[in-house]
Parts: sequence; structure tokens; C-alpha cells
Amino acid sequence: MLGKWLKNSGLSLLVFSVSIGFSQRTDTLKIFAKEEMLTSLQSFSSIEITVDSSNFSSLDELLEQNSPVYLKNYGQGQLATLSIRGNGASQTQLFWNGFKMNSPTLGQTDLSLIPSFFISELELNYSGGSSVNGSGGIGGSLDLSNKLNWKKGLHGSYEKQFGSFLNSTSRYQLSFGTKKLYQQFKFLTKKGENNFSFPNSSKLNNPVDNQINNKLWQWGGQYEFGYIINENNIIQATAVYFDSWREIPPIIGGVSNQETQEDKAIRSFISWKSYQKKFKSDFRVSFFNEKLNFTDSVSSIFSEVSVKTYQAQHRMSFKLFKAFDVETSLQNSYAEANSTGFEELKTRNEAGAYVKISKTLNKGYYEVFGRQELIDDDFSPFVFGGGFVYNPFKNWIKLKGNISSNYRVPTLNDLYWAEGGNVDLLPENGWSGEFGLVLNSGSKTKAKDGRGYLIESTYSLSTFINQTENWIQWVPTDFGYWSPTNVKQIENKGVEAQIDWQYYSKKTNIKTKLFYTYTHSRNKDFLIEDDERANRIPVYIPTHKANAYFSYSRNKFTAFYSQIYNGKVFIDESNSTYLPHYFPANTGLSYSNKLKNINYKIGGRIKNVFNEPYQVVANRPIPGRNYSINVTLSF
Amino acid sequence: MKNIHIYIGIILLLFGCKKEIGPQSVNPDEKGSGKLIVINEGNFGFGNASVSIYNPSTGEIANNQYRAANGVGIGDVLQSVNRYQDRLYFVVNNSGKVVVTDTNLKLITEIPGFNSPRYIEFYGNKAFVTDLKQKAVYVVNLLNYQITNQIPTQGWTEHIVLYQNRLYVMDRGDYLSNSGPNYIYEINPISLIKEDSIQVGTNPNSMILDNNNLWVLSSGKGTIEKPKLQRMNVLRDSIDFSYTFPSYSDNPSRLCYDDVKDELYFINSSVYKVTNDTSSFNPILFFQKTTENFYGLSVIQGIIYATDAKNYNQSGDINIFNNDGLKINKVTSSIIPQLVR
Repeated sequence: MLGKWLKNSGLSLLVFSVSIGFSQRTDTLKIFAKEEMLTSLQSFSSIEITVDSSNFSSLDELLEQNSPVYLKNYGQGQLATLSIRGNGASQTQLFWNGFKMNSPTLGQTDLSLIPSFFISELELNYSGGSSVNGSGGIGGSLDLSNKLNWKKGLHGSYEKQFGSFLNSTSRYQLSFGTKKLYQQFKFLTKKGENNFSFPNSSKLNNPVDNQINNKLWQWGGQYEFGYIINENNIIQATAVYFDSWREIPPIIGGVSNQETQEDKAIRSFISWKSYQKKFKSDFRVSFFNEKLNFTDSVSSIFSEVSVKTYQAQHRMSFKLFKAFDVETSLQNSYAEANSTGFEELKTRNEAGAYVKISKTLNKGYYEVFGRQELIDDDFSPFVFGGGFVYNPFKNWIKLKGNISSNYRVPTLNDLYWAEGGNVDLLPENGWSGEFGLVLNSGSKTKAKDGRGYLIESTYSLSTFINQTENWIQWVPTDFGYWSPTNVKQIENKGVEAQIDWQYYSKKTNIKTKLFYTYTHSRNKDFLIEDDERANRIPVYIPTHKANAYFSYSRNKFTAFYSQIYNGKVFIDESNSTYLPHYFPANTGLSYSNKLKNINYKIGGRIKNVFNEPYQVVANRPIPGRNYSINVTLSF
Repeated sequence: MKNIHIYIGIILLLFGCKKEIGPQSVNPDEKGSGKLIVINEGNFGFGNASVSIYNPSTGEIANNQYRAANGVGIGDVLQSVNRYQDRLYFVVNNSGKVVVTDTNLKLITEIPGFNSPRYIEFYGNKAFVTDLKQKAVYVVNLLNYQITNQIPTQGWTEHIVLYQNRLYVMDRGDYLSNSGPNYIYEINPISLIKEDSIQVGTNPNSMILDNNNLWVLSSGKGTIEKPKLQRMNVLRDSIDFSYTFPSYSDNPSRLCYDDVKDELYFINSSVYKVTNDTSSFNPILFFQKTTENFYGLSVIQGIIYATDAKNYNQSGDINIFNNDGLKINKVTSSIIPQLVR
């Protein structure tokens, strides 16, 4: 039955291009467990990244290597956020297994608080309004997910990394699987002194100084669970606890206030997927409990934010009139937030309904979607969009286009911060459009002696435009405090180019990825007439961004080199001060082999190979050349 | 093979250029000719404080003059500047330092070691530096630029003025709770002893000296105490006049004195002035604000400089008036212009 259903559904074939043996129904179910009832929008730009934790790449490094986004990084172990196509960190929505994870109070997510070890897949949607999971990502969204890697029997691994500035990371993993049940435990500790040296740009002739008050200590555990009830039903659950404590260093030339920040988070979800003849459904609930403690012992500032979020979703996919693929989602999220900045407990309820209808044609595909949300008692703007994929000549050339609307509601801080919170704020709303071209080519030789090879290459070029109105910004008031206002409109236009080239043979694998983004981002239409900020570039938005990634594997060795170019960014709205461009590179080498039943991998990396002194955020230094070595043992 | 040379050339170009590190300014202007120093606080944590020079005779401003003179930025949050014996002393709050330059802004030395310094005053070979967090006034020996003593205070010390061999220091109390009571201390600059303390309105924010009077402007406290402008007779060390603002929501600050017309100026959203006559003391509107975010105020030789910090993350303006209320110029300075000296 499942096999028949799978054959009928073109959609699932799009998701799983790997061939699946149908002989054993439970195995098929295990693979289905990875499937989402809400599939990403095919006509919108997205990049899927499989996380191989044995590379010890952090989330921001993975994104930097595999995508065109701009990462704003406050220094080793410190706050890291991403911005997409000229939008800010607040306009980038993160989802954890389909649930919104941006803080309801601050509206952002700090990537340094999400170890890649606890994630198995990333999907970056970098068209505005493109997330099937929810609203808010005016610029784009990042979906993090845990997909069960169902293996029978007992398996385990131990990984250790040592790095410069007394950094060390330990990771433990143990899993046990049977035909019907799978369980996995992970545990992680990470610490570092991060007392690196840097050229002090605030002093004459930039003498070398050491970073102070920059220690880091993190630990966490994760439990994953999968259970096959019967041939049509499967349960999956993940619970993760993560505790991060770090010191916050002073800015260059500043005085340390011995600031520290501790973030503790529990995130959990359980999902029940059911595969019926006429439809598939996925019911999932989640609970998040997050706490942030900031202390500045010199100024005696102790602030605490704690948020509990309860969410539930019901997702379905089915065929309509035997012609259309329909996906729906009903969701509700309830958050309770306590903050030293609030006068009392604040709550927010978000209810939403989403529907997507798509059709696969002979030479293409089209889709339309709509979303309506109800936030507390107010209906949000109706969000809609649609797009097409057209492949006139089989698959080697593909034209894609789409248009969509989106909005972002003010955060709880924007609304209720005492003093300054503004309950009359309007949501930011905007629209975006995209048109692109994708060329695929491949060549293959077959030789009986195993000397055959396969080359695959993808070239893509796309243009985008997005506009956001009622952009929220905190501005000074006459009363001595700041207050958020809907100040302006932002318009971003740009071009993205991407080349993916891969070569496979029996012994050798070469990968090349090149990205370039040109972003023409401008502030428009301020409340004040003739505002001199109009038509200037918003702060921290690079006009030019490029990155390249090369890897070469032969036999048991793999080497990589990654290069980033980030053009200059302005740090004030008059565009009178800026941070210069930077051009750092990373490289690494690893060797993997097997000794009896133990697989092992030994690797080393050099970050900032050319020892380039640079700052991503003003006066927050990034370490110069630094090293790490790692070893992975697994059975 | 020819191509290889081109590649090597490109690589050398990429790596060989002199690297700019950290925040840079688009327009380090050519050297300014004026005599007036404008300090631009810059954003907290951004390290983009700067110094501009204004020439009142030509009406021109030259920005980023400290960087133009020394090749580096001045630091993070430039709070104040004072002149003493052909030296300029810039107090850089969040860098915890005082930067000493000659009158051409050429760096002579930096005095480090302060906690969160605010204002500086001088007596003999000593400098006195107030501080937001230290609960003390620092004493600096100007012969070797070392901090030698700290005079303990109740809390946040802010403005400091010298009058006839006595220092008057404003104490703003606990800088987080702003709960008061607040005092003006009288300190003997030779013995470094606090000789007197006079209670003033809650949350004093600025003070100036006219001939024999110290005027203190205080913000008050919520709906408990209205803002006040008080006059202290420095010969008798007592408050002999007090004006209370009509509303709790008044937010007066940046008290200045025009010795040409014997008038006081301050910002209360708009710019106000009041004639120094306690028999009919009534502040009047000097300049009505429209979109400006008046942030700093200075009066020099009968000319009023009102700075507009706008949204604090863009170049601010300096609006310049004569003391008849006529706007005579407007120039664009850098990030958060605060004081003209």
C-alpha cells in the first residue's frame, strides 16, 4: 500500500531522489520519518545543508561555507546572527523542527547558542515569505531539524577537539535501534578561554593586545526517540537541554564591566505521523523553556528574561481532484514571558492556518499559498504568494519565479518594555519577488575497470527585490528614554550567482561551491521629510559578498579550503563611518579509516589562515590565525 | 605561463594593500582652521567618537579632526573636553581614559585607569576627574599624568567647577536608582578634603557659575518631585533662590550661561532661556523644536550652539543662534554632537 502511494505521489519522489527498497515496510517508514508533510516551496530559493558534526563546524561556519548569507559575528563564542538579502537579524526567522524559535522578547536567535551537533539538517530559505512553517521571516528563514538516522543495533561515538586559546569540545553519542524502536542520546561540553591577541585599532600604530573577559562554558544533552506503532503510524520525539555561560568582553579600547551572560534552554517536541490511503498527517506539539541572565557586576545590573512557549501544529497533505497536491497546516503558539524590563508577565497567542496548492505539469510546476494568522485578538495581514518552475528542455535548464507577501509582528520588548514600549506599533509588512535561471549539466563515463567518473554542475543566477514598510526601529523620545516606532521603508534589490561543481570517481571526490551576492539596499521614506538618511545604505548590510568552498578527497584523505569576501559595511545611517571589507580564509585536512570495528577520523583545521586582522562588528575583534585538531571514534 | 603572473599580481594586490582595521570614517576632512572644538560622543560600544573644529568667522566645520591629526579614533563615548594651560583634555567615558592633546589636537599622552570618567577641572598641577561608577573624584598629577588620589563621594560625580580656590562637585547619587538625596560638594583642591556639602534638588544634571552664584538644574523624580533650577550663593554656600518647573513631565537639562546678556539657557525639548533676575524669573521659549532632537547646548561669547543628535546613529547637526534668537547657521557634525568649547 505504501509503495503504491509512494509511486502515485510525485511530491515524495521530489523529496527523495534516492531509490528506496519497498520490500520491508518498516524500513520505508523509517525513511518516511524524515519526511515533512509541509514541503518547501519549489519555486523559491533555498539551500539544504546536511550537518556532518564530525567536521566540528559551527552553525555560522556551515552557513558561511554553504550559502550566500551575511553573518554578523561579535567574536569568538559571542553573539552571531544572520541577515538575508539586505534584511536584518530580526527579519530572519528561525524554526526548530517547524516551531518558531526566535525569542518572543528580542525577536532574534543567537546562532552561537545552537550547537550543530544537536541538528541533523538545515534548510535556508532565502526568499522573503518563503517559510512554510510560519510568518516573520521577511528576509528569509532557517529551518533546523532533527531527522532520525535510524540504525539497528548499538552504536556510539566519541569526539574530541582541542583548539587555540584553550578551547576544547567533547561529544558523546549513543544510539540503540530495533525494527520498531530507535533511541539516541547525545552529550556535549565545550569550553574556552578565548584570550586571543588582536591589533588594538583604538591605539596609535595598533599595538597587540589580548582579549579579556571572554571565557566560554557550554554543556548540553539531547534525547531522540522514534517508535513505529504499526505500518501506518510513527512517533518521533526530541528533547534538548543546553546551558551556555559566557563572559562578554569589552569593546576594543573600552573598560571591562565583567559582564556575563547565561542562556539555558529546554526545547522539546513530539510528532505523530500517520500515512493513510487518502492523506498523510502529522500532529506535533512542543514546549520551550528559555532563560537568559545577564550580569554586569561593575554596574550592578542583573537582568533576567524567561520565556515559556507551548506550540501545537497539525499538518496534512493530500490530493485534490486527483490533480492538485494540497498541504495544510493549523497551528497555535502560546508564549509567556517574564523580563526585568516588563512591569508584569506578558503573553502572546498566535494562531495560524496555512494552505499550499501545487501542481506538477509536463514541463514544469506551479504553486500558490496563503496564510492567515490571528495574534491575540487581532487578525494579521493575509499573506500569500505563488511561483512557478518551468523546464522546457528536460532538466538542464530551469526557469523559476515567484512573488510573495510577508509581515513581522513587533516583539514583546517592542510592545511592553518599561519604559518605551509602544503598544500602537504596526507590524512590518513587505513583499518580495524573485526570478532566476538554473542550468544543470552532468557528464558520466562508465568503465569496467572502475575508472569511470561523474561530473555534475549547477549554475544559477537570480535577481531579487524586496520591500518592507513600517520598519521598526527604536528612536529617542522627548522623555529621556527610547521607544520603537515604524520609521521607514527599506528596499533591497540584487543579484545572486552560484556555481556548484562536483566530480566523483571511485577514489576521488572534488567539490566546488562559489557564491556571489550583490545587494542594493536603501533606506526610503522616513517620517521626516528630506531626511538625509533617505537613499543611504542601512547599517551592517554589505553591498558585495562572495564566498568559495573547495574540497578534495582522495582515498581516505579530505582537504578543504574556504574563502570569504565581505565588502565594507556602514555603521551609521548617514554612511559617514564604516568597517572595511575582509577576506579571511579557512582550511583543513582529515583522514578517516577503520581499525577492526572502530571507525576513526583525525583532522586539523586552520582558521583565518592569512592571519587577517578584521572586525565584523565595530570594535569586536576576530582572532587571527588559529588552530584546532580533532579526533572521532565511532562504532 | 603569462597568466600565472597575472594571478600572482592579483593575489599581491589583495594581500599587499595597507589594511584598514576597525571603524573608519568616509571623510577625514582636511585640517580645520577654526578655534572651537566640537565633541561628538559617538555610539556607546562603537568607538566612533570624534572631534570636529568649527570656525565661527567662516561658518565652516571640519569633521574627524582628531583622526586627521593622529591617525586613530579618539575612543568610545567622548563625554567632555576642557582646556588648561595650552592643553586640551578629552574625557573618553567608555574608554576609561583622558586624552591630552595640544591645541592642534596632536596627541601628547593618554591618562588611563579611570572607571567611567565624565568631566575634568584643574587647579595648580592637579586635574580632578569625576566618574559615573567610581564613587569618587580622581586626582591626577599633571606633571607625570598619573592618578594619585581618589576623593570618596556618595555616588556618581558629574559636573565640576572651580571657584576661588574651591571645587564644586555635583554628586548624582546611585546612578542606577537615581533616588537621591543629592549634594554639591565643596572640596579643597589642596588638602583634598570635602569641606561642605549642600543638598540640591533630586537628580541634578547640570550646573554653571555666574558671578557669585552656582546655578544647579535638577531633573526631579517621577511624580514625587518636579524639576528645579536652584541658585546657590557660593560666598555663603546656601541656596537662596529656587524655581520649580510647572510640570512633572518637564525634562530640563544642559544649563548654560551667556555672560554677554546675563541670561541662562537650557533644553526642555525645545531651547529655553531665562533672564538672570530672580525678581521676575520666568523661562521663555528661545527656539521651538520641530523634528530636532536637541541633545547638547553651549553658549560662547553670546552665540548659542544647540546640537541635534537626530536618532543617535547618524550625523548630527549644530544649530547656531545669536542671543537675539536669530538662527545664523546650521552645520552637520558627526555622530551625537554634544558640546562646543
